[in-house]
Amino acid sequence: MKKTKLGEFEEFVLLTVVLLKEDAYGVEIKKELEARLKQTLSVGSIQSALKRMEEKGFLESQFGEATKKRGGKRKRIYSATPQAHQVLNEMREIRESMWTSISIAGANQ
Amino acid sequence: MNTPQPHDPPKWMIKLMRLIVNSDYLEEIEGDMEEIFIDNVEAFGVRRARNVYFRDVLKLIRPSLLRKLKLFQKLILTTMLKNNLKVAFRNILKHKTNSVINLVGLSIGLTIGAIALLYVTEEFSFDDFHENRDRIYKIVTESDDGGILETNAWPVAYKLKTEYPEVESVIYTRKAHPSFKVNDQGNKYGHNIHFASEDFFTMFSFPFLEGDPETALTAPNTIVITEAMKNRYFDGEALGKTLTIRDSIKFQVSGVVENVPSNSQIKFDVLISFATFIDMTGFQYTEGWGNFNVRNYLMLKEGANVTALGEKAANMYWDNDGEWMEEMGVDFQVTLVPMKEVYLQSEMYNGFGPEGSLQNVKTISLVALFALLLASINYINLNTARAANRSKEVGVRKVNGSSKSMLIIQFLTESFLLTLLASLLTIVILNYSLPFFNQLMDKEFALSSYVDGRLIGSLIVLVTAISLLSGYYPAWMMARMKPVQALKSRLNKSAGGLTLRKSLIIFQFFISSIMVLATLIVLNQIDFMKNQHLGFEKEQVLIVDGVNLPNDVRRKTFRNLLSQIPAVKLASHSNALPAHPGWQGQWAYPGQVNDKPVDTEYLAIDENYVDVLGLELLAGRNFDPEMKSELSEGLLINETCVYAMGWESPEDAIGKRIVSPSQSPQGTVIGVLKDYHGLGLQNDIWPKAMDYASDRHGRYYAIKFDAVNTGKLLSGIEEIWNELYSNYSFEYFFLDEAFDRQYKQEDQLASVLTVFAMVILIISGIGLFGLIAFIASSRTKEVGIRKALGATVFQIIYLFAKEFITLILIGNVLAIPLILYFGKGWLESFAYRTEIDPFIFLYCIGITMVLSLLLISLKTMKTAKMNPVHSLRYE
Repeated sequence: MKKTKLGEFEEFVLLTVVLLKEDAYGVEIKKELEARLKQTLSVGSIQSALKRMEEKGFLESQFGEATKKRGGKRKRIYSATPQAHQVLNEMREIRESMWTSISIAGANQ
Repeated sequence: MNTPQPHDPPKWMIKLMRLIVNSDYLEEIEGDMEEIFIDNVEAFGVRRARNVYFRDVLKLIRPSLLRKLKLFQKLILTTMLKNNLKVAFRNILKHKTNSVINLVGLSIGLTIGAIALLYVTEEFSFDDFHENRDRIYKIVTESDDGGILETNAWPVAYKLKTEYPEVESVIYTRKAHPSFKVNDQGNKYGHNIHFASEDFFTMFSFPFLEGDPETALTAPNTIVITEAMKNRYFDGEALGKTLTIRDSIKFQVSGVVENVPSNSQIKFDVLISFATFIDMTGFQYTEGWGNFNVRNYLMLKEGANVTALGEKAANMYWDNDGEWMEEMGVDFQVTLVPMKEVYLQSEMYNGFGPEGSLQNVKTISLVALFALLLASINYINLNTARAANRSKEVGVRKVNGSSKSMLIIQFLTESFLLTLLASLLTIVILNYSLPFFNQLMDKEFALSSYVDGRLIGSLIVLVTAISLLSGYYPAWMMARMKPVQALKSRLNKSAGGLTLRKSLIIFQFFISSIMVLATLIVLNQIDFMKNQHLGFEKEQVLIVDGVNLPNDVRRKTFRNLLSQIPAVKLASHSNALPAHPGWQGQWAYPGQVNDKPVDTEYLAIDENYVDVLGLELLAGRNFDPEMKSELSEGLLINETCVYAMGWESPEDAIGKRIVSPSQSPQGTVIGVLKDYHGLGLQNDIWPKAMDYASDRHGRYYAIKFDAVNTGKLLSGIEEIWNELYSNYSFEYFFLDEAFDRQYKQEDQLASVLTVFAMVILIISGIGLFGLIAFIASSRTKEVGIRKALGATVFQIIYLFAKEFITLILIGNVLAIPLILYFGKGWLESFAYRTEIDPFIFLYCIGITMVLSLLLISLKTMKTAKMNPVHSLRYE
């Protein structure tokens, strides 16, 4: 694994960004994640995760359109960098290989 | 106007967010927050959405999102300060009980302080939105006995305008009769309606949304309404549309203004052009020197001298109407009161809106100051007590070269940090407690006013002042310890700290006792007023208000039909009732007009009035419908009136004549009533004279009912009402409730005092608790030895308690003379009052003692019960 680490919550947020594609901005990410984790999240927790990951180079962002509902303020659309995809894949592979070992071990018992 | 829409998150929260969030992220986060807020409003309603919003704003406070202030960073990151902060934080965390006590005490104190700040700021900001405020004056009438009438005779303002070149404009205003109700498709709604003349909006600055301020009130039958009224009765633009008032008078809307701000002493929903009033009544600006029923304001020309104008105008009444005044034995003067003083500094009645009270402003500021002071005292006491425990730290620092001032700064950092935390907690407490305080003080405070430069400034000053006040002495005391002594932990126990601590505790309980005693005095007086025999029976009397009814024979029919209802014992028709005075200030004379008028209240009643109210006749008899001559000529008067007229006894008064220039009251006395309290007990009993003229002047139906049999009472009355007056709204109330409502101000004072007294007691209690906790733990060993030698739990609690009991008693005793002095002063504003009951001093000692003993035993019990084996091993 690379030096730059990804926390559990950050991983969730990052995955949500990948999943939502061009819809990935604060509110949507929050909604999606709340639905999946079945718990309420604060705006602050999502935002600080996003900002941290942007600093670490996992995320890129640009301003999207403004809507009336947002009081004329623009959205910021996030997208995952190649580096992020790489780290996500690595983590997934590591996990999967471990689970495979576990199930094999389980089957042998 | 910038009142938030019901569907916006509160402004102050937005401002708070803007203040803390890094500006690079702000647009995005603010947009997100707003979107979520709107979703939440739809899903759960505004209340819950606001709460979520508020929580989310607070949760935005995290390092990665916070605003980066370069200067701030530099300051904080100075190594020394960084270290100080770290130590301060550790200390706060290490001594949790201590910190929590300080935090709670300080934030309660700060909450009260903040509310007082809101209150005082609003009181002082009254009417400051009028651009011309410094040139505006209220014209009032001063009489020779020093009394002030807030209205004027008709020609006064007119003459000021036409004959004095320094006057730019004057306005005439008058409150509309209560029958002026908005008629919206047959339903009638009461609003705050006044007549105002055409220069109203060029004098006062009420911003226009529609229409032209210069001409809006010129033509008859035009009105200017507020935005709230527009939204209620019109879709879209209101200009040019009509509103029906009373039964069928149509008024054209000639202007819409923003809603009247809460800090305006001139309050209205609808203003009708004064020309309408002139048309309706035929009054003339040039006539009516005895008609004191218009409210006037005046605006000077720029640079004009008000003193000179005041001197010239003062004698206007004498110059124009001197003969009449001499004949009547009265004297009036025209007086100009500056607009900026009318609300707070003058004590006259204001028929146009709220009246301020400098007294209340002072009292509330003082109480808030006490709350803050007591919270600071807690901090001082707890930290000087702990000084010994921190002496090692001080010693080590000093040995390593720390100077006295560096140590002071270190300890001050701690108190500053704690105060800062307390103020954050205060914001949370305020957010949830404001509605309660608003209800308590009858105000509409919003936190939004906080995010206003001046208030933030005063808060910063407050926080700094409290940190310094509470932190400096303990800091100084600890910093001056000698390193050797400090390291040996051999501090002189009886050093200055102890005496100071004792005096501060005495002071705390002195203040607490004052608050408790003041509350008890107010409660006693209210209790006295509510339970005093009033001279009439206020229970089981229902009143139907017939203010809108036309003057015709149906008034009498209605009264007579009422007696058919089984639950009705007796019904009376009159123009006045207790708490609803008749015509006050009528001049009446015994025999003939002379130079000594008796200021009399005139009432128009019927033959049932005396029985419905349960009044007692001292001499003569009641009106009798059979005796027609007595009905037209007879008068009933009260006892006070007998002596005011100069007659010797009630019997002596029978058959005497009373005359009056207005002929109300005028006639021959046929009966004398025992005095009863027509108004709340704040007021003296006035001379009263009643004639049999309820048909002409009647407004109220007073219905004495049978308490056992109330089932069909209301429905029965309403049925009769609808038969006769199907187009008029049926309004009723109960006499006892209406009468007790006169004590609203006192009731409010009592609840405010109760809450404040409780807060002050809590703060003192918390401090005492913390101190005891500390003392108990530092004397654990001593307790162990005492127990080993046979002391009982009770004896040990007594050991701890006795010292404090003396201090609390001293505090209580010191409060007595002060409260005797000020309590008497307050009670003197009531015409009928209790004496200060000596028992309240016992109650007060009881309350403070029980509270303190409870806290003391709660905390010492643990130490006292501890097995000596453990306590001796303690440390």
